[in-house]
Amino acid sequence: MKDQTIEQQQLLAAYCRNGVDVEILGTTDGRLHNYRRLVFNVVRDALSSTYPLTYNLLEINEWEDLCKSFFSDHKCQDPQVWRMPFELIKYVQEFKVDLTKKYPQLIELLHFEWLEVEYYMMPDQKFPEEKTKDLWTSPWQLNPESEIMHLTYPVHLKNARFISRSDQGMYFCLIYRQPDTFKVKFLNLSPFFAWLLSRVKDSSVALSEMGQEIEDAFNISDPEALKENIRPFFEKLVADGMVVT
Amino acid sequence: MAEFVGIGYRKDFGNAFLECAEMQPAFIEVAPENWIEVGGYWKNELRKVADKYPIFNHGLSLSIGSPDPVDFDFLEKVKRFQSEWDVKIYSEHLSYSKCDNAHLYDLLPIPFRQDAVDHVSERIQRVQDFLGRKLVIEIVSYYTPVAAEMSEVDFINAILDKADCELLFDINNIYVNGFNHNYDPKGFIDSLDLSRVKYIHMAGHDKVSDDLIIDTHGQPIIDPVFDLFEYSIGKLNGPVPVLLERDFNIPELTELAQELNHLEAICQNVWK
Ligand SMILES: [Fe+2]
Repeated sequence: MKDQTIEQQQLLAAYCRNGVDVEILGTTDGRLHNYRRLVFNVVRDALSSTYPLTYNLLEINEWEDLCKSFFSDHKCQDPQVWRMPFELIKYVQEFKVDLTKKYPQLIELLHFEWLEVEYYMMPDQKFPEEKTKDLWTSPWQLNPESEIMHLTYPVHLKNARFISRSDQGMYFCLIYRQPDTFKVKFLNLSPFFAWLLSRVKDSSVALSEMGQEIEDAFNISDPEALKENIRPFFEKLVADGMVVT
Repeated sequence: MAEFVGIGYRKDFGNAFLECAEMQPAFIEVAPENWIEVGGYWKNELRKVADKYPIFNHGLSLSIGSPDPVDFDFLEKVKRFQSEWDVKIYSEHLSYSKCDNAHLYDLLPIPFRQDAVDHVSERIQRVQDFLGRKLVIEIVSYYTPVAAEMSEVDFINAILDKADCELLFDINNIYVNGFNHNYDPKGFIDSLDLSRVKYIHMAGHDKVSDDLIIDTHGQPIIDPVFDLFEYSIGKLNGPVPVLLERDFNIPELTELAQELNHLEAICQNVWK
């Protein structure tokens, strides 16, 4: 194409992204703004529906400014609009220091909200063919559509608006998609159970074979007591489709 | 079950779609961008719908009129999706939605110029070669021309001819454009190369001021667009599939089914 044709297309695209008035050849008076409005609405709607908690946390003008600067400064890469909001996280991390200072929980909240969308939509993963026969003597077969989030703010437990620096700590949250309902679930984990779950995820060892390691982790040496300590957690995971039986 | 008329399948329909006895479309249309690499609940729903109805694709992100290069990695995913779901038709918009390496997620008008005709046609041909199927390009609605040097209809006909592709004849868009740019839609249709028509879209719109209609797909089809539909399909060589599009402000499915059946009755009347 001729440079001039390309240039007119670029001017229109740039105007849609930044909303700064522009002269474009041969346009009808008073019509151009419809493009900016329509394009920006799509982007803002996609961001608001992916991040409703963040939308609630930020003040109205902060959210509006964030959407505007993101769309104007960042070149959206994903051809699938529902995936585009993922790109906001890195943008905030890199360029919105004022916001991350004011809201220390912001990045983790964005991650948390994005994971819910991602897990709901993610391609189906291959489930283990083997079953978990027993909590103690057979290796736990886990739902592969899961991961453990390590958090410094309890965004999975508390309304983000009431989270402050004093909430800083070590939190673990299991996220998984239930195979029968396809619902995405979150489960707060104590450090013990977060350790246990990561341990069984990374190895195919039964708890009975972990020996000293598991006794130390839970600080319980009697196997029967240890089993009874773990049982309710195990049963919850089985009931929720997180452990395959 | 309808013979000619299908419906744009939306997640908003939920599982009511398969349970609605009145809703018996000839096919369903989805945007591949909303379904590629999707699993879980929605894949399961799409599987149920696909077991009952043939699937057409109407893409959003190809950006055939862009100065940017064609994204063949994305197109590879589209191709895989279409073979997995046995997609019958792949239509896309004669517009651009990506520029300077940034997606815009909406449809911007291409300048009606000869160099754009050459550029777009060459890209359509490459896409057709890559996918091993004809691309069906849609006349889009637009709110202002940009840097035009030829008429819209000459622009479209030249691309159809040069790219040797097929046409998605969106009759509502032609009505909207006629209104927004002061031309007679029938005259436009009379000048269009109708031998290329492979597929028809029908939809509603929102009139936002005395001289502007926005193509929202958020209202029922209006009577003048039904009239234009009857006028147009009589001019075609034979039957083609017709789609009812409804993207916003979605009513009860029984109400959509009535609209669909109305379209089907017109088709039966003209084509049988
Ligand atoms: Fe259309």
